[in-house]
Amino acid sequence: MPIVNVKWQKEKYVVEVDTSAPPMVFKAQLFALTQVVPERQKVVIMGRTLGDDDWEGITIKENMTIMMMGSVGEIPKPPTVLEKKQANRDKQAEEISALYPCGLANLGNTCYFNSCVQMLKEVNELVLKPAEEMRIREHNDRLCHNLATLFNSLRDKDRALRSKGEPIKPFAAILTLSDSFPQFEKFKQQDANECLVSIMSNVTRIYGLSGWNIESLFRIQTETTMKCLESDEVSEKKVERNNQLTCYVNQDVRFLQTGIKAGFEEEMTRNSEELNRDAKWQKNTQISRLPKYLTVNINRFFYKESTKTNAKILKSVQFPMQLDTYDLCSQELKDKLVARRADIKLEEDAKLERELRKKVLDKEQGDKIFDDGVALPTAFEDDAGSNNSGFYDLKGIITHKGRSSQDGHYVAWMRSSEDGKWRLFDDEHVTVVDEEAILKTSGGGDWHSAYVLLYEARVIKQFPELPPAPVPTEVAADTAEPMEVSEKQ
Amino acid sequence: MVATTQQTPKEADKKKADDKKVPEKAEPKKEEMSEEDQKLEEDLNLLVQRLSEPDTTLYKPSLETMRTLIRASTTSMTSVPKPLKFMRPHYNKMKEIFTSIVAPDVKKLCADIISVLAMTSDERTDTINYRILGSHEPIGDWGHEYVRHLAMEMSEEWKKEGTSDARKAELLKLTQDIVSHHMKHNAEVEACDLLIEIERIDLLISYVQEVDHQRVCLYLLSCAPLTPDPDNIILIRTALQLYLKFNRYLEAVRCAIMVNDIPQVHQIFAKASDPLLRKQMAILLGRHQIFLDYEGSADSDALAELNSNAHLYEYFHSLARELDIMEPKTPEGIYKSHLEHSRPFGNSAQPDSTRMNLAAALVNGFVNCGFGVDKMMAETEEASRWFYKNKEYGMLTAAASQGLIWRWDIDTGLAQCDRFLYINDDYIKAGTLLAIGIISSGIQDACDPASALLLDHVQSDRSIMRVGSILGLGLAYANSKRETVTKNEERGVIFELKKVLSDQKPSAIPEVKGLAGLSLGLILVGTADAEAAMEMLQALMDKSETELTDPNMRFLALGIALIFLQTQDKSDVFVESLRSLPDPFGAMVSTLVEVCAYAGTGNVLKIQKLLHLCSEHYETPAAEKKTAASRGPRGPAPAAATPARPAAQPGNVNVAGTPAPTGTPAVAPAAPRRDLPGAASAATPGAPETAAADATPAPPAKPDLSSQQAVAVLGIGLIAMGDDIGSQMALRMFGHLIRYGEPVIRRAVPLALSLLSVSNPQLNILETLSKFSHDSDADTAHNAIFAMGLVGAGTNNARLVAMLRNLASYHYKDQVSLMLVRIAQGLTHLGKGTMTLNPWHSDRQLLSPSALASLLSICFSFLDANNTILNNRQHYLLYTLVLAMQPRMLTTLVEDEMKPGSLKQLNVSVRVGQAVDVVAQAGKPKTITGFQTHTTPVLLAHGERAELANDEYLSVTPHLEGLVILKKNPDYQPVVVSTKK
Repeated sequence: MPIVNVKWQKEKYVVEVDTSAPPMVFKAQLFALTQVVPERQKVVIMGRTLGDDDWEGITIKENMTIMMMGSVGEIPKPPTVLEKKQANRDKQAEEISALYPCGLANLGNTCYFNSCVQMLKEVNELVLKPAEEMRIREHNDRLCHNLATLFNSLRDKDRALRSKGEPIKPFAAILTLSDSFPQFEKFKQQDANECLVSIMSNVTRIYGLSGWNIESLFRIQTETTMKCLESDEVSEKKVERNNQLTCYVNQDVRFLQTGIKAGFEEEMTRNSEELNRDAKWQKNTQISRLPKYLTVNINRFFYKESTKTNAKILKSVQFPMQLDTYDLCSQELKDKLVARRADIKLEEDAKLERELRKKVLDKEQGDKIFDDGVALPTAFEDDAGSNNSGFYDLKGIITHKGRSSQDGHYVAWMRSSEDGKWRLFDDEHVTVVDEEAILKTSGGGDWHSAYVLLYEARVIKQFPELPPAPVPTEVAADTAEPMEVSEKQ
Repeated sequence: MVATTQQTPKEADKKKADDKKVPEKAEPKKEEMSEEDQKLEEDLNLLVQRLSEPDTTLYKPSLETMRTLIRASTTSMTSVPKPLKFMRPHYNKMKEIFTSIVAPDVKKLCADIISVLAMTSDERTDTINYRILGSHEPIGDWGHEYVRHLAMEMSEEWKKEGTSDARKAELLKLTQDIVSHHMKHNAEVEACDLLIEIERIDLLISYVQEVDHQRVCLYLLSCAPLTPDPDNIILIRTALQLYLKFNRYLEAVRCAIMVNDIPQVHQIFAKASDPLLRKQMAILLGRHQIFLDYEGSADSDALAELNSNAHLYEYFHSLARELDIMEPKTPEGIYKSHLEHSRPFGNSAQPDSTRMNLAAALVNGFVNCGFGVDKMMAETEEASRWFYKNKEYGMLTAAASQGLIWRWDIDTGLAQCDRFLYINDDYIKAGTLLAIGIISSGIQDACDPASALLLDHVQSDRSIMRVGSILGLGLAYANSKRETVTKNEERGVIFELKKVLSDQKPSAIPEVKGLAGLSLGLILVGTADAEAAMEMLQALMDKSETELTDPNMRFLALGIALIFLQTQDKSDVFVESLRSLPDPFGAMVSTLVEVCAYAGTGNVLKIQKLLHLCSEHYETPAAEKKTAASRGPRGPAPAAATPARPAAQPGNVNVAGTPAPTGTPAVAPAAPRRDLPGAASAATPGAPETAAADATPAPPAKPDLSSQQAVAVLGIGLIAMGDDIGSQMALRMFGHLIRYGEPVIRRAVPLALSLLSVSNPQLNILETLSKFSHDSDADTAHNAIFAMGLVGAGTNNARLVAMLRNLASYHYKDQVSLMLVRIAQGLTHLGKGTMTLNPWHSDRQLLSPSALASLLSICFSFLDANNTILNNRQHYLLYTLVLAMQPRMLTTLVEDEMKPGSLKQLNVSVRVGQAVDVVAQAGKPKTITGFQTHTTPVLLAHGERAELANDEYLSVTPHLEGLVILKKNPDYQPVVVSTKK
């Protein structure tokens, strides 16, 4: 009986062939070696494939090399109808996501405005239904009306599909902006934060007049006390209302929180009545009310006297995706926050527990259990639009690229409240990005650096108690053991 | 002059003397002769005088003196030697004297001298004549210039009409003297030239010595492309004989490959005994895609393994690892569409997914070609899902792209494909069959899995399976001469394919027959197998004229042409018999076969003939109107043309069929005449006459031969390719053709341009193509875009990449163009920039026939792209490119000490630089310039050459390309570091 070399993929086997027996025997030999079932074996000898029943036309020589093709494992199946449907749905979703949300056309240096609008349109409270829009119109403020329309159309999915993702051209809004705020000269680069503040003030006023209390969503209340360092004099508490926190950037500031704190704790020189001279005072500011939406401006621009330009500090200021403002709050507020903050711990525990449980349960059931949390209100009962936990999630940023506020480029990076994805809004271009890209905008180079950050109060969920875990079936374990034993034998 | 300058100061001092000096200066220059010269002249005059005197006894001494005088000064030849100058007036007198001399030895002496003197005379052949009459002293005694002069006259004399045989024998004897002198004095080039001139290059062999033979052969080989046939073949064969004489078997095999002489290759193998050398020869044959059986020698298995490229993928992977490019790339990673200019207000049209999916499949295949790993088909599930994303033929092409990924690696690749053969979808199965063909292409495993698996489906009842298997076989066995392929019995690949030609089954649709023809052409490429060609011709003849208009029939024709690829005059007979096919098909086929036969030869005569074809104009009135309209800005003003037509019938004749004058390069410039607005002036009195005189063939009856013209244009590129000067000339001609040619010609020009410079993105060609890629004629633009892909194939050329990216945004609306742009992008990154499509290899001297066939097939398909590649069906034809894909690497191997007889990779340092032309250069010139030192494996760009950086190893082949076997240098002494203190 001749001995042949059989090549299968990268393996080589030496097999004794019995040419008197039908080839099926040989194939069975190969099956034993390779685990490829005979039906799936293609034995190739000198340009011929071996049949199952006879050796016709094939001569086996001693030491010849035979090739066997064949694979273990399932035959690939065509995607099922379900899969196809899924693919279709995916495709549709993909299509929509390619078109929505759409961008804003740059009408000539209007990127500062576009990024502000893209940021604000993510604030759900600002997006009105068409009927409600009419109430804005009654106030005859064209800027606000235009803005409201703009927010609406940016969030309108149908419109995006109809226009095939055509970017919106905010002509009217730009024109009315410069009418209402003459400092925003048309089609010239402006400071985005200034624009944001102006728009906000306008929108809050008119929305407020129309019956929507926007102001409370953004209002930060601070208490400032002054303490003289050279005497014991303490000035009165001063309560201030603000729409924005400012993060001052200096040599030591590397994180957003420290930058904000630096603005809150200042030393300054001021007249002391007690000493009757100028003395050093310590200013101390604390937050006494936290809004639902917290905007933080990283103060990167300063006016350089020598060159008469708005210079930019490129220093990296890292900001967190989750901001905890507890440290910045007044004692009174801290006490109030404690209750909700305790819920966070519970939430995390519940989540962990569900994660563990999920491994035990099959997918369907797991999903059901997993999503059973109920969102707790984020505001104090007596103060709508406030934040009752001190925790914030990053919702979006406006970044600036360039060396001064009057030139360069502003873009907005927003997390959509609809699908939770981060997107980059670069005028007419909208692209999905990942979280890492956001964290890269902390500054420190010529890349986009965060300028205005928008934080939204974190939604904390309350989960019901889990039902007791089902007892894992031990069938698998039972069968496994005897097998092992048999192998040992 | 020296005297006068010395006088100048004196002149300045004594102005009075001026008047006196002027007449003196005007005196003849004789005065300036030095005394020495004067004496020489007097001596010579005296000698001549003495010879004319009757005293015969003085003749001999005076002639001898004369000889001494002449020889003393003929050694250097910066100017006419003085003695010759002085003897010139006496030349005729010397001839008279010669006739009067009686004594034979004196007469001979005299003849010698006259022969030398004749160099300065106007009599063209006197040097030779008197040399023959002379005393036949060693030829070199009269100095080198004399020999050269003789050689010059010899070539003229030889070619004179009516030279008798006796005379020729005399001349031949003299020639041999000259040649032997040249060979001894480092003037091999002149010796070769002379022998080429008198067409007796065979004589060379006996004169060449070991030391010269390299230079001689190099010269002969580089002359070959510049000579018309059959001289070029003779030159190469002479070089072959020379190499054999000095036992340079590897070089001899190269020559045998050049003339495609397989029996000779076998003979050389029989002679060569060095095992490493034999291996290197087998590697060379494998690279050239000639696959032989090596029965009967001890190392036949090892040779067959090397010849079959069985380990190519391992070396390629090792290169990829070295360059750190194993990581698979996705099509999007190639397109980088985020870098494309998107237009601010343009709507981003939803991409036509069928075409884009198709492009993605091809691009994914091209880019990850040979790496055995990709991102789209790595998982079986994913692959299947991906295939099903396409439809019908798109599925076929997508499934076949597996073959590209696993190229060369039959062990793993076939196993990967295997499972898709069980899937219940014919398109995917057929595509997988094609993939098997692609994987096995260029790999000739002894088990022949390709023939085993594919042959079962060749006669299938489902035409789609036949498509996949037939093309697969064509790719797998291109240019293979092994027994499995050639045996004339059941299950012989050729035999089975021939059966398809005459098949009457319903599944034998024209597409199947066309592919069978193409595959036969690929397998029998360059064999001039008249029998197979005849069968294919028979298949064509059986068709009616309307059936012949089926685009698939063109591939049968292409198959015939490929059989005659590079066979030169062997095709002549067949070209004639092809003319029996009805025109225009017959004309197209015969031209196609003719251009194929001379592909890569640089034959100028053929190019002229083709240009001649292109200068004709075939247009039906309807077509004319159409083109006139489309040609609006630069063509004849329609307003002017319309009134001219009814006015003068001859005017139309002129437009339709002015044969250009003779085949001079002026042909192309001549063509514009009728295209310019002036053509409309055919109604002017002068024009009808010339037109009537020129238009001998009756134009109205003439069929539309424009398809022949398109082939002719392609042919120019095909013939001129490989030869730098020829390419340059062709470039110029293409400029004319595109400016003044018919639309059909214009469409073919980009393709022909790409043939000139495959995988060699020269700036001027790229820019020309880039211009055409924006052409208003969509077909021209398509061809130009694809041509850009060919020109930049496997180079990662940054400029081309940027151009294509711009094109992608330019053509963003046109899905067909966009698909081609994508494919071109994929080609540019072929094998992630490690491969070439260029059919020339081994120092750009060998032209791989299968690679050439593949390029030709693809370009030929693009001539009628709308009916082939772009018809949403036959895009699988793009896979014919597979045959041309080769890694452009240099990997060095040595014999494995652990396992004698097998080779292992060894990394050594090499210098890589731009190749320098060293043909006919004196001494030992450097062969590369501007080199850098690398460690193998290393990539070689087009026009680069490598040499070993140190003497530790010697290479078996002088041409460091592809796989190179090294030997330890026995004389190597490692450099001792002496800086130790």
